[in-house]
Amino acid sequence: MAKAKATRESKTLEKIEQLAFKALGSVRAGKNPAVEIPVRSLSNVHFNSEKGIIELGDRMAEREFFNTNMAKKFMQTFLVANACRTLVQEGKTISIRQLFYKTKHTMKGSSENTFETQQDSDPIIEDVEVAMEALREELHLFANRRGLIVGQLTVNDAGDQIDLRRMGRGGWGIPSICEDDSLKFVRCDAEYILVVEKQAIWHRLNEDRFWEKHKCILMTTEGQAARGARRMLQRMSGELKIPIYVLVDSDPWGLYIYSVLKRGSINLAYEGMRMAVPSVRYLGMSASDFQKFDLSSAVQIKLNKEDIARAKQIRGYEWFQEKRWQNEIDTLLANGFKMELDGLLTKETSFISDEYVPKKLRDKDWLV
Amino acid sequence: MTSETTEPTDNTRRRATAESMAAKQRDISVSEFFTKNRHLLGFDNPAKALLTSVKEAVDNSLDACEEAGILPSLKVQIEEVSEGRYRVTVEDNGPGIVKAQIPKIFAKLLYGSKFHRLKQSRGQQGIGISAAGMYGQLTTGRPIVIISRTGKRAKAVQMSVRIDARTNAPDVLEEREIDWAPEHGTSVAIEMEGSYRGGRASVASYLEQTVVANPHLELTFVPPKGDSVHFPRASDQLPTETVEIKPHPYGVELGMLIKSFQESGERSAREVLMQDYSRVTSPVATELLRKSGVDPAARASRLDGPEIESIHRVIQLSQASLPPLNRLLKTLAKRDDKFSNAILDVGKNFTPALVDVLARRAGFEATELAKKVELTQLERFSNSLEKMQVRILPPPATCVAPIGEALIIEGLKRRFKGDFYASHTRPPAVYRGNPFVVEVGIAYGGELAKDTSAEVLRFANRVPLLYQPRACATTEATVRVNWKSYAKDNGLNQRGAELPVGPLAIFVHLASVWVPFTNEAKEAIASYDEIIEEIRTGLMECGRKLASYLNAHVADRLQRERRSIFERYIEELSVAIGEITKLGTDRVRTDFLGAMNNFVHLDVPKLPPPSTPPPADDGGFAIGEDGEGFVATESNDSDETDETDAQAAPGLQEHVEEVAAKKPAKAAVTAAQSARKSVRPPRDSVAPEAAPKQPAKSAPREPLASKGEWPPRPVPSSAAEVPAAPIASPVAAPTSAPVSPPVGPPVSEGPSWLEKELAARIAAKKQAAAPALEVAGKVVPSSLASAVRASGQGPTMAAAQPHRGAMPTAKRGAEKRRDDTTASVTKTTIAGTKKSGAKKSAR
Repeated sequence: MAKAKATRESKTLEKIEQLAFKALGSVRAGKNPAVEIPVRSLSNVHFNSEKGIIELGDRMAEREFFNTNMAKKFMQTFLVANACRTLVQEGKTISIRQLFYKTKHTMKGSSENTFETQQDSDPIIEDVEVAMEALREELHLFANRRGLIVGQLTVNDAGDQIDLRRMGRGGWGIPSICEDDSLKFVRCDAEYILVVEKQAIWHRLNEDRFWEKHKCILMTTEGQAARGARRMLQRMSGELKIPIYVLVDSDPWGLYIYSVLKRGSINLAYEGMRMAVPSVRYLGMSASDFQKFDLSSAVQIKLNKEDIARAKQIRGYEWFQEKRWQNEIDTLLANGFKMELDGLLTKETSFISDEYVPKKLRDKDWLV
Repeated sequence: MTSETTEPTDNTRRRATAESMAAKQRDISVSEFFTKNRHLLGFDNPAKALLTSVKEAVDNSLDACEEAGILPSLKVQIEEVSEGRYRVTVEDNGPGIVKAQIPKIFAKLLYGSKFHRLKQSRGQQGIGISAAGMYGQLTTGRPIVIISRTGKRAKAVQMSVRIDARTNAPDVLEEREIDWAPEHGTSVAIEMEGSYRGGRASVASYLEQTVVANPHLELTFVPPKGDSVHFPRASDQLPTETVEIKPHPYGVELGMLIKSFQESGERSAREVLMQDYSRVTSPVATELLRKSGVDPAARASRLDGPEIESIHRVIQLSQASLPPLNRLLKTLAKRDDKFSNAILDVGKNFTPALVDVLARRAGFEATELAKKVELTQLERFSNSLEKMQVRILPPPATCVAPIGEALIIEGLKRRFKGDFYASHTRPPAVYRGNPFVVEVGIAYGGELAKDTSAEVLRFANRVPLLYQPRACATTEATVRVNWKSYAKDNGLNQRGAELPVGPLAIFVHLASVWVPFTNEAKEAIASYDEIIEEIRTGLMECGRKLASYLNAHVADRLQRERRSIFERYIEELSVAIGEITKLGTDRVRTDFLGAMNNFVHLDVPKLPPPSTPPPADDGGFAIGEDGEGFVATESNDSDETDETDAQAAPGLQEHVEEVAAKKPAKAAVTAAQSARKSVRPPRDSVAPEAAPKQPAKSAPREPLASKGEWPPRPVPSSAAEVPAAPIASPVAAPTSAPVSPPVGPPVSEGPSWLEKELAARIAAKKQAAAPALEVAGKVVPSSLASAVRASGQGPTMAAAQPHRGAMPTAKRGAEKRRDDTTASVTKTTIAGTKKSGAKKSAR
């Protein structure tokens, strides 16, 4: 395993070198040096219906240096690439924020910084990942970890045995890198995994000891899922072989969180293979739950313009074309309101643990 | 009012009789007139009086010098004699004045040589200097003191004169011969009440402007306080000598015509017209007289009043013109007043009398309402005008001497520090029979104030006009130009018919045999349509030049900005790529900077390319700063424009050489030296890194060991493919250069070389079994080394390593391919690659 990693890393180094030599070759020929970067937008992703994930197309964007619109990004690309090269060689791993500081400085003879904010460097890191076809871990970078987990699972992380049933109220923070060389699943007594979008709902379910009663693993992505959480989920899916249910708000943003977990993100489509979990099931909230659970009108939040636009956009995605999904989105739009999971508390504090989730599971009331 | 109430009554005493009145009636001398009306001549207040005096004296001096063909050197001195009392002294190096003439010139009003002739000069009436003297005399009682010397052999004469105000006759108070250093020249000193001020209409400002319009003038000004100012001569060229011309018929007034006929002796009317007026040929004279109903052969002196009047009328009609009839008819239909008024407004050069005559010939009254005049009547009106007209050529322009476009710019530069100058001399034109030439110029940008109205320097026959700018034709023409359209985004604002606001100075010069001043003080030019139109057209021409300069300048600035962006980023890139490739910062930087020239185009010709490459320790070029400004008189045809187009991407070193070649030899040497210094790689960065990780002893250490040379180059995997030489070493080609196959495809495409290069490295890694993370850039594995040896280090090698500097130029082309391998010529690298397409196909 360690050997495979080393091979991958030396390949990464080779690619970085290749990138630099290619640029140098161009300038020596008096040409405009360019870095080819796969286009990371909806226009260059397609849905692989066989694999059930979003894949990156082969359209490339040329990032040229002698072009004032691209010169800075070109330069930044090499700063990041070079920084990653040193990290790999030194065998150290840093966060993307730390990389931002590592590559940020004021340029000679000006007041301009190589990077002004982390918002400048993050996309460049992604560019380098894609252009190098290297994963973030392989570049010795990690993002801030996000996501909590608790439940019927024991893991071994970097040599420490961790029983996820004994995590108290706080749960276990999912590391940002969840590769099998450091994180291993030791023992699983769970029958399924419940993933909730919101930390507050996760907290509610944890306090209600939901995972204990229902023999499951309870996880929250804390909003849009970070890579660590997604990778962990994919590995659990593959290695534990238990079903995964996703619980998000009934609004286009919730839908997209689900979509990213299941199909991969448009932005990181190149990592879909290692991140997406096509088998996850959409447990709720569904637009029709309003009637089904006889919720009060207090849970309704009127859809705003952005919500509607986003919903329509998602309805157009290739991987939302099945009838049931079209219906779900149409119902959302027809209702004219969205609902939050927290709205379920209008019934009773533990309604979600005692009634909502069990009933949904019982009735097999989910979407795929 | 009083007369109405008093006259009818009987007991009114008669106040004066015709006799008693006659006793009081007498000549008014001009001098007396002046005493009372000195404001007419520019002596309204103490400050203006001082300036007018300087001005009159300077005008006279300059006129005298130019007429005598002497390059004028003037000294103007103003001393404060006591509170509010000044002595003005103007000294010139002119031809001097004969003793007998001195009193009349300086102490008699309306005495002079310039009034009666039609020739361009500063002075016109012969009032100026004596009026100044008179003013001094009136306010201080002191006479004018003149010193004059006419030549080396003559003694200088010093004379004190005053004017007898009643008789307008000079009164010589003192006269003596003195020793005076200058060989020839005149000095005038007038003491007067005055007030010395600064500002727009000050003596200093006047002199500064005089210098602008008279580049051939050397001037020293000694103000009452402070340091004296010296303006050296900007041109050794005297203004072209103007020719005196006869009056042109168009400008002739009836009285003058009558006089010339009466004093014509025995000559015929036709002869008089031909001989006394310019541009009147025999056929013209005959036609003119026929149309006037006068026999061309009649004796001129016998013509009566009405006959001469009719001749005059034909001349006047010949200048008149009407707009096209259909337009005229439309205009008339809209008017509520008399036909004659309408024609005076719409037509050109009409008088009421002329309209009257023509209307009567057309069968209607000029007093008729304009809208009632019918088309047929108008047609007849227009036909009778045409029938009465005689074509007379405009007067010759030889009587006018413009300053010239180049000298205007020299003048502007003496006064303003701008970025851009333009000037334009219009072709000669005519107003009322007087030929004139308009010259305009502008200065823009630089140190000119950005938030004030443009300064307008007005000149008439090279004399600055300081007063009454609002009443002047020059101002009127200036505000009629839409300046914003020439420099919209660059800081010229203009509201309505106002002067533009922005870093602009405008120069307007009217040269004419007779400048139409609005008053005797010669303060402003009268607004003749012809004059305004000429000025406007000229200014618009300058405006267009400004616009094209600014456009080019904006493009240039953009390119500079791009360049500095690229340079800044190249610094960063060369560190990153230099580390990744292990080629070092300097080499990568040089490569990028070399390629940059293909993508940055600095078009403004006068800016030299940076003459030194960036030193290794201090990144970035200093871009040649904006020099002294850009001048557009005519098309700017510098051929040193875009170097990068003609040749394929000159490498940095070559660039330096190029620049050096254009400079004097000494500069060339230093430029080349500095280039060498900075392009040479840091020596100490090479050895320590390379040494320890040597996998096999058999690897050729030679290239690495040659100290002070380039860091090791990538080694090609096969002898057939030779990389484009990394970069030129400005020092002599190393004889112990790294691997260098004897012959081979001289240049290969970058990528293919790189592929090989990478393949080589990967292979090297595998073979050397180096730690996985190590990049073996500096290490040549043994397998490769042997291949390299087999092909490279043969005897051919030595032959292929000539000293580049000693190579004749013609041979260089042939040697290029070899040089490629020696890391000594940048040029070949790039030039070669550009041609690689062709070479490929040949392969």
